[in-house]
Amino acid sequence: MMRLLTTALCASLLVLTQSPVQSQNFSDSTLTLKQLLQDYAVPDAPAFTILQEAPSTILRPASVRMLAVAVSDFLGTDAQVTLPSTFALEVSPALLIAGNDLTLAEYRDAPWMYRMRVSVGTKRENPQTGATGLAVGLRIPLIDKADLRTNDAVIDQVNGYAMQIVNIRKNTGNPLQGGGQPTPAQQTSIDSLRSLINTTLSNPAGAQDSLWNSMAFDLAFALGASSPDSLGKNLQLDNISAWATFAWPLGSWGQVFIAGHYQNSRALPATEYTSKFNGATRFYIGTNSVKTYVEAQASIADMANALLLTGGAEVRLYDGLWLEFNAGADVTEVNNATNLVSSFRVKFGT
Amino acid sequence: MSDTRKTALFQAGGGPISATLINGQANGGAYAIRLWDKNSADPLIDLSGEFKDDPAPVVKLPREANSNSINDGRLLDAIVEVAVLAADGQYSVEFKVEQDGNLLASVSQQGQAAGKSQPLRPQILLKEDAQ
Repeated sequence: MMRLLTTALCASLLVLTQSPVQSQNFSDSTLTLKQLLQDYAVPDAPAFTILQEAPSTILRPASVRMLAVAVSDFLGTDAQVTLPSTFALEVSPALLIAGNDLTLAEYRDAPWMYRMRVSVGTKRENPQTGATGLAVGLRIPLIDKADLRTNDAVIDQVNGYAMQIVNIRKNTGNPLQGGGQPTPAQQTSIDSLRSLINTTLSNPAGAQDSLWNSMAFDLAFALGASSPDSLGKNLQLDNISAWATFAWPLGSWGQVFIAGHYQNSRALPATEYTSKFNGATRFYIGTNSVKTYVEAQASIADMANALLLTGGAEVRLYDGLWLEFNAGADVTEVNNATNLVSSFRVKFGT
Repeated sequence: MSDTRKTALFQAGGGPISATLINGQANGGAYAIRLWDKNSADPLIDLSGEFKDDPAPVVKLPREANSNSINDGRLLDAIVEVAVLAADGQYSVEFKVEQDGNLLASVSQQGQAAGKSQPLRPQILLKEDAQ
């Protein structure tokens, strides 16, 4: 347990030092930007998932972020905390390319394109030989009910408040005749309306906890390759994966996932690929900040079928920083063996 | 509140002058685009709306006898209240004036809002190009 806590603390500090979040003075609100970020759990990047020999192959759907980072495998062979051996970065290229000029109307015309994320990842597979795994992934969230930009009710409400503010500001006279500044009474009304916008869009206790378990449907694909050295020479494809995950809310307290994962892979230097299909369901209970889950996963493979039963938890430590751990049992047809499995991850997203 | 004013030099004998307001970062909110004359208490143009499904709002300035001279000294005033939907708090508003496909002036206001509502007021003063 101490080793786990030490690992978590070191990893948290490592990520925190790389994630400055600036806040600015804003006369109309006492809320800081840190409170206002929609801090849902950081999703797994396909490139991260394909590199890991993780016990679960569910790819968790979650709302779009411009940038997300995931690291894992902090413990070396001597049980000392080391630099993470797996690192992945996920970006939303359409959001990055459109940048400042993207209007809400353009986003709403093709939300799937702006939610689409590309991930790249690396893994040190063997520190002695320098063998390295590389992966690229693509995720397309087709349904995301947590996305405020496609939430008509929320947009209509905050736009209504904004229109009232604009109407007040319109009654401040001709700027060419010295007008343009609101009276104290007008400013009071404007401040009240801005507070309503802040509350509607960012209520940390309300918005996040009501949207964390929203309906979502994600498709994802990833390619993995391995290289015998750290420079990535003689790269050889060894893993092709595809995921589909559907998430459905259960009141305000839970969420259920139904997921499928197809994998075609080989263990180099073998030339023949083997196929595996996983069907899984995961059941969450909790809130946005702390939630536990149980998961059942059946695997149909060329070599042997298997059943995985795990439980775990996701905990938000600070702003976009999340910890996730799980443990369970993996039962395979090979010798009818049962293996205990566990994993621990740190995730950060902005 | 952040006010920024620039000057646009236009050709009196050129084509119609238009002003466009772009609310970027896929944010919501509301706006009013107004054309002011220093001798009037009321705006000559007053176009209001919300940022949701409509394209970026555009206003065309009035002309008299195929001339834009009447707009000399007038002010294009955009009152904008951005509802910040971007998770990272980014906002970006551009107010620009064009004539015959040429950009005469552009006011861009960008940043990271500390709240979810960002007031902006880009303005462009119109001047007839004497040359």
